[in-house]
Amino acid sequence: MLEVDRVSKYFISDGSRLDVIKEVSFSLKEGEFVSIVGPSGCGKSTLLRMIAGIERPSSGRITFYGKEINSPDPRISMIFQSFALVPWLKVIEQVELPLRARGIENAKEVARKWLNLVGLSEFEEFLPKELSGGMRQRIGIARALAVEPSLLLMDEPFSSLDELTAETLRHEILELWKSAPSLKSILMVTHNIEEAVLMSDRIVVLSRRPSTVIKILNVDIPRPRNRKEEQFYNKVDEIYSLLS
Amino acid sequence: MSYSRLLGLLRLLRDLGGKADVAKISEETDMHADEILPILAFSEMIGLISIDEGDAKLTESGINFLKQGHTGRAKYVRDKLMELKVFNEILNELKKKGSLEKEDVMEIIASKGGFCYCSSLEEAFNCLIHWGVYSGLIEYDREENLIRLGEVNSK
Repeated sequence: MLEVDRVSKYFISDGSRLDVIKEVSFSLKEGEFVSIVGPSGCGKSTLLRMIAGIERPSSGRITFYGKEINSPDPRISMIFQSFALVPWLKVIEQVELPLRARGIENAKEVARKWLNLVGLSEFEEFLPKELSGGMRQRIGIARALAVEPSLLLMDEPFSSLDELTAETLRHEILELWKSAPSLKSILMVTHNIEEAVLMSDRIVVLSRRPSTVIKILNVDIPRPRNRKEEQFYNKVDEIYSLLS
Repeated sequence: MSYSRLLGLLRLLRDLGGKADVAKISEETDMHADEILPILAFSEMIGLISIDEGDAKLTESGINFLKQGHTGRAKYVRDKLMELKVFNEILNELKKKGSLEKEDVMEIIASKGGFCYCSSLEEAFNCLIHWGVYSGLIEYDREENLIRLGEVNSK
């Protein structure tokens, strides 16, 4: 489905070259949940933005169903750490916005369906500032899934939420994945190793900048996963030792 | 104090074997006790947990709540809120008058001694509105600052 092939990225800052990502390769198959973990500043989010078609690699190729990504693909949508909501739009309008941009006629109906699925149907007239962080991210989730993507990208989606809220949304994303027929796979960037082990089928571990792939691990623990189980924290320990 | 936090607390208790004290919840979540206590108070008020010798224990209703979808959970919360005197009075007033201003609702909350151990009347109002709207019992028109009956009640 997605191939990241020897992708590198550098930026020019004050006339000097800053290498951020160096020859990173991995793939994502249909039906998989893959996480990318690594130290702060290693370029995880940059990698995700390149997959989203917002940025271009300096070298290497990213292909989606065999076609190189040069610009945003309508089959890929994204959930952001900062929610990325429009402050003056009501909840329903936030979800309608990308649907209308795609010319979908029954945008309100589709938006309502997704607000219902994320438990916000009674709050459609509210503004983002009137809602808790968890509810704002629920809007972000509804907005990303309403456009029926094949691939969902998530950039630190739970890191600005308290742990109780984050844990609820982690479980709900996995549930929604089952009820979104078009959604094949999820790719998440996170610095939270436990979160990656809780949710993923595979984890791509990146090194410090310029980041390379240290290892790609399979997480063969049956779902639902319990953080208290030995298998779980053994996998967490394995990743910590790779990063230290 | 939100729906997601409430669910997170119940799920955490389940994962911890059905009960835990505030210190354990705080350790597991990196949250302060003053953030956790209102969630415990609300959960206890609507029968999802019981507090026994300092431990929060998941009740049978709490276990079932986790198994339900959003609609089933909203119905559960609605049924429980309707048993509370403060909601009863607000709903009765709404049925008589059609709508209430924020100040009217705050007066009712104050007359009942607050809501859900919130530290200020403003916080209590926001909490009551949140759960009232979530459960479909009331609607809140922010532009006109008016509270009306929710769809469930106006049928």
